[in-house]
Amino acid sequence: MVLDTGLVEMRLIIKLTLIYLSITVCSFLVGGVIVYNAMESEIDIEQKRFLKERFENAKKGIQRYRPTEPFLRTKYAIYPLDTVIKEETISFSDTLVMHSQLQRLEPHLKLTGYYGLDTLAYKVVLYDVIIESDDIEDGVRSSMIKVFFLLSILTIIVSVISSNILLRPFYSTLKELQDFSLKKGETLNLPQTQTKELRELNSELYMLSEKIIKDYNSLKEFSENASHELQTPVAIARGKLDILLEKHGENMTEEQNALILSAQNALKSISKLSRSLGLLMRIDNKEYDKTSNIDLRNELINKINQFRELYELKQIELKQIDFDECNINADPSLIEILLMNLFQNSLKHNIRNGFVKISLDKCQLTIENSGREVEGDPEILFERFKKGDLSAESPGLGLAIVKKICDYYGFKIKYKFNKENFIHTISVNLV
Amino acid sequence: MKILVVEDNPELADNINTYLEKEGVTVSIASSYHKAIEKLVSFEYDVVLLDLMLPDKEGFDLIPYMKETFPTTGILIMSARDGVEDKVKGLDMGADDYLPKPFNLTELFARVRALYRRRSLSGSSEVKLENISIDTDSGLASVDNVTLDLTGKELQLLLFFVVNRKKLISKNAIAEHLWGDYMEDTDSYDFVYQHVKNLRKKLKDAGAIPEIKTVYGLGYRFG
Repeated sequence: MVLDTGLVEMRLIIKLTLIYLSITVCSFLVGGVIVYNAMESEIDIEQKRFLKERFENAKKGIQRYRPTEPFLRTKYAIYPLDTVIKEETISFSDTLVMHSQLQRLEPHLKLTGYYGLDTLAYKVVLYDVIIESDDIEDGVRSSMIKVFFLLSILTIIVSVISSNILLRPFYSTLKELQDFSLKKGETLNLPQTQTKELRELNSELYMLSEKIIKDYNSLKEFSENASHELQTPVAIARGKLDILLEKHGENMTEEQNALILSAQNALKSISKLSRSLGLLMRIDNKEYDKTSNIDLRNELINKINQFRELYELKQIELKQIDFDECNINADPSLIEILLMNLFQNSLKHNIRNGFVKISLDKCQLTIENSGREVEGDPEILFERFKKGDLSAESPGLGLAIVKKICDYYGFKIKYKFNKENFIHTISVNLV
Repeated sequence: MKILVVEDNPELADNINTYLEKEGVTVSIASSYHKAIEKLVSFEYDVVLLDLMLPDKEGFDLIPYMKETFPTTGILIMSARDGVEDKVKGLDMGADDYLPKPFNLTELFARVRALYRRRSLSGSSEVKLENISIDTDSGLASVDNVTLDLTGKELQLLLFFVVNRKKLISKNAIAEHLWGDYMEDTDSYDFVYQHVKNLRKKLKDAGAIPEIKTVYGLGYRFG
């Protein structure tokens, strides 16, 4: 039985890989932001230092040439001022400047410095192209994606390889569990492994299998013993009643005798019932596993000979139609029980002056007989303790046993009841 | 006839004892494997009734010992285990008959008698009662040396009556003897009645002295 939770089935290793990769995606996103910020601030510092260096060069130029006219170059301007500057100041600002090569406005970092040399004062303006944040972003993103893909591929390769190695003991445990059969009575033969979790799993499974086998055996023993132990007290009671009848039967009243007889019949039913339940249990426990080749036609003819006299006593007409050759492989005792129950059924539920028609067409056994009316769904007669004829004394296990044997061998069985002429038909396909 | 009952349940052993003693059978009871061995060392028995589940050992274990010491002693296994395997195993080991519990005491006695005949009175397979005689080997019954025309079941029934002469035989016991366990009670009483009716008529026509008397509501008595 598979539990259907409505969830998609997924291999453990795929799950683990997916979890790992989704965590990686998150950390790459956060990491990308961190890298971006770090790069941006580093670039900013570097640019400012570069501009400061150029400012120092500009100062050297001023010292040498002491210009009196404004000196203008690309990204470079020196303006002589009329004031006196005691202190040198530098300030940075962002601005848009026409880029000479690109012929468009580009954001630039602007250094404005005031420099005083003796009585002269100068304003120095320097520009440098800013490395734009979306450029940094693009770079960070593309490198992150490349690294992520590389990592994913590696992860998948590694997980496939390691799952084969790591989960190998797990799969052999699984295989061993699938092959586990209570009937063999063997404990699980689980692989040695160094993985702690698998080791624990295996040791728990091993103990579980030991316990199951022990419980199964004691249950089997108990049920069998119960069915045997029941027979002894029944035998005692029946014996006592036998002796009572034998010794005093004729001195007792008819009513007393009738009481004893019905007590004896009840005891007989108890032992039959316990025997039938024991049989059902043994089939369930798959205790019938001897297989031999059975000539079904032969078995059928034997059964008919055994029952012929009984049919005659009940004045039931026996019709036998084309018995084909049919050989099957099965446990002889189960086939014997199957046929016995079917024949008994055709006799028990038949009526005086009725008929029974038996045919074996290839391996399709059909027993048709007259009988009394059956109420309800004929299929329920295959269930335990269900009977079509409530007056019958039998507990209603006959067809349940037949069904159980058919299920055991995969024989198809059908029961039909014709409501107009009260004809019952059971057909079993013995293949 | 001397028989040993190897049975650990005292009540069941007592039932068998009570029933068989009335037939003039000497019954000894052993409640375990070891007690059975003790008895078998000191006495020889015609038939041993053997329960398979004994407190100290399996009943099966006793079979080889008996086969070796007293090969002519008949062994009848009575067991609550109804598996075919037990029956086959017991018979393979050398037991002569197998009777599943619970059984009818009438049936038990008939089986014991059959064993006794086969074992102790080797050679003679004839059972007689007054002017009726049955040859169990050939399956022929005769009254005053005139062979009766009996069906198989009627012969079985006559033998059952003769063996259990003068005893009350219930319809149940007859049904179980003739058909085993596989017949429903409702049908079987009817069938027993028909068989008895036919047999009674054939015996009467042949002039047999013993007759089948109906014990109203209980069964029959022969003789």
